[in-house]
Amino acid sequence: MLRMSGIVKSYGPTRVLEDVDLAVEAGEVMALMGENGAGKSTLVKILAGIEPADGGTISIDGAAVSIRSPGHAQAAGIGYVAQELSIVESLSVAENVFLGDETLGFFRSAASLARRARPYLERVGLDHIDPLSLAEEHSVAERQLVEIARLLSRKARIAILDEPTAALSETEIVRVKAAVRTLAAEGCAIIYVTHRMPEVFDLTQKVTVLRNGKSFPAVETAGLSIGDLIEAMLGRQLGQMFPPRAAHAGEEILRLDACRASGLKAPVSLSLRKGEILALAGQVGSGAGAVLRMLAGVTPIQSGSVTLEGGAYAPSGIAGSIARKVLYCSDDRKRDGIFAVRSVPENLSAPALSAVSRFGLLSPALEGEHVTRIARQFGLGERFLGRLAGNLSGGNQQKVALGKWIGLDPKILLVEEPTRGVDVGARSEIYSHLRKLADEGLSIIFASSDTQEVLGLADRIASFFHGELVRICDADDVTAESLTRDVTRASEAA
Amino acid sequence: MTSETKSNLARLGLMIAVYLILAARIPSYYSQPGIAALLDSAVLAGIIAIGVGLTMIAGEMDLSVGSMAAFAGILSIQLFPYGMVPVLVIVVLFCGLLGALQGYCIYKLNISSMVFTIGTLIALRGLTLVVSNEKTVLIPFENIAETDFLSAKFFVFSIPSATLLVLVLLVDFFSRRTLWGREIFAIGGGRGEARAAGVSIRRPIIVAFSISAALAGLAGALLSFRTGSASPLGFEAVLLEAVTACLIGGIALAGGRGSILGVLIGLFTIRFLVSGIAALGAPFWMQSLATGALLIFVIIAEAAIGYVTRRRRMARALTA
Repeated sequence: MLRMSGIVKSYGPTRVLEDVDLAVEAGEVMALMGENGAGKSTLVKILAGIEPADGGTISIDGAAVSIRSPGHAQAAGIGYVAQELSIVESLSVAENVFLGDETLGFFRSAASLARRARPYLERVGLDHIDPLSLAEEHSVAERQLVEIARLLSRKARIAILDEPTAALSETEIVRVKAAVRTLAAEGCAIIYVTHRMPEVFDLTQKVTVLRNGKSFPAVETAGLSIGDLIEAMLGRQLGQMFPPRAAHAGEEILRLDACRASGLKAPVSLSLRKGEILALAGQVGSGAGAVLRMLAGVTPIQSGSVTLEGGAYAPSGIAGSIARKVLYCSDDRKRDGIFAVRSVPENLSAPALSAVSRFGLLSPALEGEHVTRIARQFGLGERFLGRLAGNLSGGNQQKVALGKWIGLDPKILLVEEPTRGVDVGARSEIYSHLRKLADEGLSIIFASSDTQEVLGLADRIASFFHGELVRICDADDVTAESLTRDVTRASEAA
Repeated sequence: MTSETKSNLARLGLMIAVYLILAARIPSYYSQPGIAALLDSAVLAGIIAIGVGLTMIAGEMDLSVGSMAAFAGILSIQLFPYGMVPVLVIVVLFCGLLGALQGYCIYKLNISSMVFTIGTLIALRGLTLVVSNEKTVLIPFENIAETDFLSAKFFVFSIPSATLLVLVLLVDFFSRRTLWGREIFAIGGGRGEARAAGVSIRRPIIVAFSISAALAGLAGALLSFRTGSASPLGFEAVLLEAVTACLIGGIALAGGRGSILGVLIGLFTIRFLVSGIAALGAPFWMQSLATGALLIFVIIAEAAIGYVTRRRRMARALTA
């Protein structure tokens, strides 16, 4: 039914998709899998008309179509359930079902919309909710189901679901899966993007794997083993990307006892030693990031206790964690990591203004010293120092985002997705700088959804799934396959 | 009962409370001419608040309404010889067109409407000064009686105050019961989400700014006809009262929430308070002080209620 071939897409100099092919038949659920950054989201956004493709063709039922806006996609019968852009919270459920639908006539009443929405809501298992209630009154899962109801109401022939279950609990996932089956039974061709193994084997007939922006021919799910699938997804050569591990780690510096915070479904206990790099491995919504945010004081510790160097540690906010030299580098670089419109030196000295000031006034000499020291530590060339942070490449931006904290002489560095949106060369540099800092006594905890990064960089690995800590192991005892099984809960699919 | 109905009822309760408290001390509050005067005092800010409210629901804000009203006022007095009704129609249509153009620019240039309308606020004022030759324009003395019907009272209503009430009902219906109206709510509640669902962003922005400008034009023309004169420097303070009425009436600054009926409630809450304070003989600064205090009270109450609702919802989600 749907055939995408030779799709090409670049963001600036970075090529995200090269020559990608994807074909889905009516009534078929096609899993689209791949590591983070493999290009899954970009591909479905092209199909949904949110991003334009640089090249390639899309045809539906044999006829070529041109999709350049969400409107075009809709006209072509393509419906898209996005990961983050979903429903309008301040509108009623019924209005969200018919959002963007202009075929219902100019005049409309809340009651008539509710009446028309009800059959669609029933088919996705939402018969118990009031179509007139505001969407914000319902859970994330119910909102996802409302979106699927929208696809039904549109009579979409092709449905794209981009990680619809990333933030849902097990019981909620069951409801979403049932709704997806309903869609497929009505003859809809479904592209299902997911990281979760159980869903792939439970729900889909075929799998297309993307790796580094290239696609592999689709294979039948039934004839596939988890091992094959993981190998197809990873398959990357490790090479000399990662520095050697620490020979030995120091005494314990941080300990978490049965800690809970928002985003965690079960208490988490773990410890960190001086000079150690600990990885929290997990996909979006796994809880790995939640642990970092809790330690950084972004979200409060709801229960349990944290001990830092023998003393109690309960930061009441970012300022609290900074005061204890526990520093957090968020994964949202644009928002939290850098001041895009300020120069690199200003970025690097921003957290340490009191250290580079004399008598309350900034001292250019101290600032210059401070900045040069960090730049040297992080391999930021002299020629970048005059530039605005926002004009740097992703890799150099990340060096700035990390480097500004190093200037504060942290005891513990918390890094979320250390190399998101960073090219391969800069990645290996960042890894070696982090390792060097650890060798000098800094303790690092990083959260990552990148399997290779977790395996290559960490001394110990804590794997997370769905808000729960799965296990903590020495990195030497973990393989790519065992880790992928842990963070996708592959055991449940077998 | 939906949460919006509940919130409007609470605001109505507040308005009635303000009215009753002051009516207990001011006899004119329940006399026929007194109520008529209260209604008349609300016309200018009221008609303008409807339009500003609509742009706020769209997640934007039209700050140019005061200058637009002054521009329309000068224009309508200058064109007075052609007859009041045709002039009114032409001026409103022309302002609506200017508003549509303003909306199109805001959409096309993808810039904040606050920034853009500060620009037009200043520029339109300049244009008004040019058109009026920097002088107040007057309806010729021999024709002044022709405008008397605008001040005539039918029971408690005059033509302007009846116009305000009819407009509130019309625009409220438009915003709740038509595709174009719901699009305004959709892009205000979640621009990215609405766009991803295929909602046009251009149309609701143009429609909201067009209505806002047309209503500002209407208010300027009506008021100028009623007083028989228009100053190029007039209508400068009206924006603040209109925005205050919207905020007290439950329109969220972030967009997507509120109703036009709510704006009317907010408007009369302010009018009752301000007129009452004036009638009690309190100094002028008391009016500003009381309006400000009322606005802050309403916003704190909203925040508190919102906090409790969210807590309850979360508790329910956890037990479910």
